[in-house]
Amino acid sequence: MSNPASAQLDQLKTQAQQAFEKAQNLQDLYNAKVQYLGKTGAVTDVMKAMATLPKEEKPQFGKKVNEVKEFLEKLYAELELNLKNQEIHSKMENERLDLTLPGSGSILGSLHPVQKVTDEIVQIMARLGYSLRTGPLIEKDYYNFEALNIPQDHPARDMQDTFFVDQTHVLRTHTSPIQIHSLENEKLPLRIIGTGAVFRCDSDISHLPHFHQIEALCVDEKISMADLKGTIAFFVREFFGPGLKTRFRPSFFPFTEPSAEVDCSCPVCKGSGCALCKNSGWIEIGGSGLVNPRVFENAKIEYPKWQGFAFGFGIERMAIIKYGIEDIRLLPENDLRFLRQFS
Amino acid sequence: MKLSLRWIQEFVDIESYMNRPEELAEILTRAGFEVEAIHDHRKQFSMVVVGHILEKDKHPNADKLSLCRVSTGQNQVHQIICGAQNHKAGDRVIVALPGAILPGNFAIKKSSIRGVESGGMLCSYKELGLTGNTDGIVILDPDAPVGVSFAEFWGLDDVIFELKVTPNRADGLSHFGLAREIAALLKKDVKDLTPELRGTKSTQSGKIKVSVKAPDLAPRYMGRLIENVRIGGSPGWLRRKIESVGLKSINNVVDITNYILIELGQPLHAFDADQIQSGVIFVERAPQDEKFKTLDGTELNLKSENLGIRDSARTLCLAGVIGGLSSGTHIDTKNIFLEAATFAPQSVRKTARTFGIETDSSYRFARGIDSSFTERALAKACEMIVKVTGGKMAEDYVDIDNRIPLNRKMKVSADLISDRLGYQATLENIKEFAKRLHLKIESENEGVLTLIPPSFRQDLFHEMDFVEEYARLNGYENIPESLPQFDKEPSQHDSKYLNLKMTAQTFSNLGFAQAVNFAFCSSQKEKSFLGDVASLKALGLQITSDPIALVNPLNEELNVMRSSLSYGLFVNTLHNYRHGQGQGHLFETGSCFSKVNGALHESTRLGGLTWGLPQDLWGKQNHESPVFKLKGALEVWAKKNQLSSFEFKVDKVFQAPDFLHRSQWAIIELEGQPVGFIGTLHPRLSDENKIRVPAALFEIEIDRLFKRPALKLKSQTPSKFPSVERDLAFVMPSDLGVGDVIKTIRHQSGALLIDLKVIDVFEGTPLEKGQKSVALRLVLQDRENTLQEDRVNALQQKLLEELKARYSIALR
Repeated sequence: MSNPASAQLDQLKTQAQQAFEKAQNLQDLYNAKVQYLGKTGAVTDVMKAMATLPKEEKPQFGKKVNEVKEFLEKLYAELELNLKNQEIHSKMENERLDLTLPGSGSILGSLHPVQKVTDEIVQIMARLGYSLRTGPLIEKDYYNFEALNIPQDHPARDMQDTFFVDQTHVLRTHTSPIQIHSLENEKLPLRIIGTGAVFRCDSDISHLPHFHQIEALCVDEKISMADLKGTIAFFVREFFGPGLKTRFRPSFFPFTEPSAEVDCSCPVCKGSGCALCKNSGWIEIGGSGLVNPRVFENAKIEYPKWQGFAFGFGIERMAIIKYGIEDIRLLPENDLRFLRQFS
Repeated sequence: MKLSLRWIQEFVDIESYMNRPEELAEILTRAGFEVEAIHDHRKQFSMVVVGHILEKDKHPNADKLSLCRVSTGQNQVHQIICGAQNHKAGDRVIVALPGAILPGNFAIKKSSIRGVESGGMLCSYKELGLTGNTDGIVILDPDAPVGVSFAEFWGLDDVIFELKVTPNRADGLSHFGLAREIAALLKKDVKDLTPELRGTKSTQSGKIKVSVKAPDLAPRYMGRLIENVRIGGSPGWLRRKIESVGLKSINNVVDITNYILIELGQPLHAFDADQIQSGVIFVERAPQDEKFKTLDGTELNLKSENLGIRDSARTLCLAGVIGGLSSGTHIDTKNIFLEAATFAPQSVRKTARTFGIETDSSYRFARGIDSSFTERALAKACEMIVKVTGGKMAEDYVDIDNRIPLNRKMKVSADLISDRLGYQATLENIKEFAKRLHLKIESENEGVLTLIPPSFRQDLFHEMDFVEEYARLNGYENIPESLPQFDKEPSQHDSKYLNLKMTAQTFSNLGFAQAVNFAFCSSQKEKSFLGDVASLKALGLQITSDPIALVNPLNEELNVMRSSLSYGLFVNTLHNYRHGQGQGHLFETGSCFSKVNGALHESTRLGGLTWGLPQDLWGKQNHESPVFKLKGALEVWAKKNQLSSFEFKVDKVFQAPDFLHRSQWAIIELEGQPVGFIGTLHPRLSDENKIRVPAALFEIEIDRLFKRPALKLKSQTPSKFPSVERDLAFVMPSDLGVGDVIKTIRHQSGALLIDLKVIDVFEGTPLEKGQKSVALRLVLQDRENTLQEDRVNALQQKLLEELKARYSIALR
């Protein structure tokens, strides 16, 4: 087939292709498209000429027109995509941001080390079924002392320098009154931890007059020193890290019998000796023992049907050991430069 | 308690531990007698020896110095320059040779003094760290062995333990008691060297009669008259011995009473028998308000509860606590009455604490002494006094015994001990431990032993007390580790803890640092910060003008329980601001204290303080007042708490707290009740404290949150239909609260209004003074249908009418 229309079509195709490929931007490309493929474009005009063709040539010509049209449309789409990409790229080139600048947003908040240690201990002990209790900071003498087997004018009172509020009230010297409230009011068996502020009339480089304790009480039908030791050993490993050992030393607390001081192998040097453990390899972390039957008697709980153990730690001391805090007096100072490390 | 191992050695053989005292210390520590320090005197006095002055000449270049040639045996002769004046050739002296390190870290070296070489130093008491009454150097007896080490010669070749004795182990407050304990731990025998008391038991000893009128406070009273004593300095061996455990030598009789106290744990008191008027001692409660002068001259005003050792006219001695000035022994005392008594522990402790006098004697009485041993302690003391002072003791001695026998029995079995300790205990071990601890096995019945503790173990009553003894002797290290069975449902954590934990996490997530302040503070300073507390009380804070005071505060800075969190947070802010923190956010939760109808009241508060303008991105300042940072944080917290009603109200009926900016504060209401305040710090406080940045604070009561039942969270599916935004700008009076307008809009719009934002607040030209322009963006949406324009318009019309009616405001 070689009619003039067909030859014109070939020529148009070449022209259009050149015009498309020459376009430097989307507008030029679009203009070229209108010029050839638009309603009044050259290719459209050629298609209009189809009406003048002999009937037998029409199908073949029609096919060719469509091929040219499709070819050009496809070419257009390709070129359009390329140009669009080019434009986005050059736009991005002008939108450069320095991502080495600091990020925007809030200042880091923080939890006080006392809160952090408390939360962590509660979490560990909760896994063993212990739930937390709190109590008043101003306590009746009875709950702070008498109920815990520390009678009036007993030398055991010298172990805790007490702040007095009036004749019958003291600032609690330990969290143990919480135990008595639970023993009096809750159903047995019992697994609780008591926590909060405690007060001793004593202030020096290593003692605060207001500090915090956490203690655990377990009361059940059969409780042994081995249970106590195992529970503390579990706690120590969870809190300070695996591999730490627990050591018991006999001691005296009026509310427990037998009583034991608890040492754990030094979390810093793992027992080889360092400044924290004064080269002993051991760190004293708290007191413990089996609940003294007199405490049960005071709370009207039947012994030996019920037995129990209790242990307690100073939270500041735990924080000092765990976070390597060099001076206990940093804790009540609330200096942001110190606090922000505990976020 | 200072423990001399040499002294212990007299009662139990520990010679093999003298060269490894740390091992003995470890054994004691592991048995509950914590050794807190070990002082090895042998190390301290190396290169210090007994010397013999061969020649003494004048120093060629100094008049006041002498040049001595001193032998230290084995042909060792040293040239030593000495500044003292009290020595002569032939004297035996104490020589510190080069290499010695004297107390106070004073190192002795070879040196040259005024051009002459000196190879050591002749020592004074002071230089050796000893108490001695002479000036100059120490001159020893002429037979002192030359060349022998000073430590050995002086009885200082000793190791001293500093021991912590727990209050239950009164028997551990003497060398004999600890020797008994060490013997039990080492499976050795203890030598009991204390003599038996001889003579005739009576209520009278020689010319001194005793009448016990308060048998409840003095269960056993013993004593003996010793006549014709010569009071004077103690012989060297006695002085050295009591000095070795840190006591000061006073005179021979006092030193002997101290010796017995340290060795046997029995406090004694020596009266000048000629000062006892009418020769009768009354052991009775003192007359109320009697004046009593202690031996150190302090005058006390006695109470009728104090037990006195009295004669017919006056109190001679405060029983078990301290002697009187007029009745003690002194250099002219000829006859002494030596008291050895048992006083009721509570009474002694109370008296000692009442007057703030704690003596070695009161300390032991308060812990309980072994009253069955009193007679032997008295026997030994009398023997020693007779020997040292040359006196003669009366044939009869006083023993008035009103003790109520204690029937202490413990029934124990291997099963009981196995159950309590968690490992297999045996009957054989029980028997062995009982024997080592001097417990008597009264009977054995089907594996149950009845044990009777010795009189010196006053801490043993209950079966559990023996369980501890078993654990101790078997070694706490042998207790295995197990976990108790637990097959019950665990209970809930305390709701207060959970709520405070959530609060702490919320505020810390919002950039706040948690503060924990002391619960006590300075009454004066807190008061001056808070000002008039009536306004705070009106805002719903539990607070009273007279805070709860401590009876015995540490100091005036910590003398009352705090009434507020605000003051503590303010102090923290000052600290931080002055340490270069120009901006920060703090919060605290904790108890504050007040008196409600005279009763002590503790309430839980939440407080926050923020200061400084936040540095926005890379130095672009954000000029929002910090009070809005606080308010925003509180709004998030309220949401976390699912508070149905939490409002910030400006109400002119209420008076601003004295520490807040009068025009920048609001009342905080929780469920319709005022619970506290929020506001900017008063400019006066910022000024006075040189805080150059704005600061704002809040404080609210939160106790009621802990009592609410746990709230359920119910989700809602978002509407599928499009939402419509409508911006409305109003001109309104400056003092009209935008919050009030918003509240009205919310109320009128109902469920259609899903969000409302304040998009602009503007004051100034072209607006008239006293006017502000406020632009609000309402986001409206229907859950069921596409919201049509006409419904939006109808709502807008309704809102505008309501706002006009209520506040006389209209669209701009």
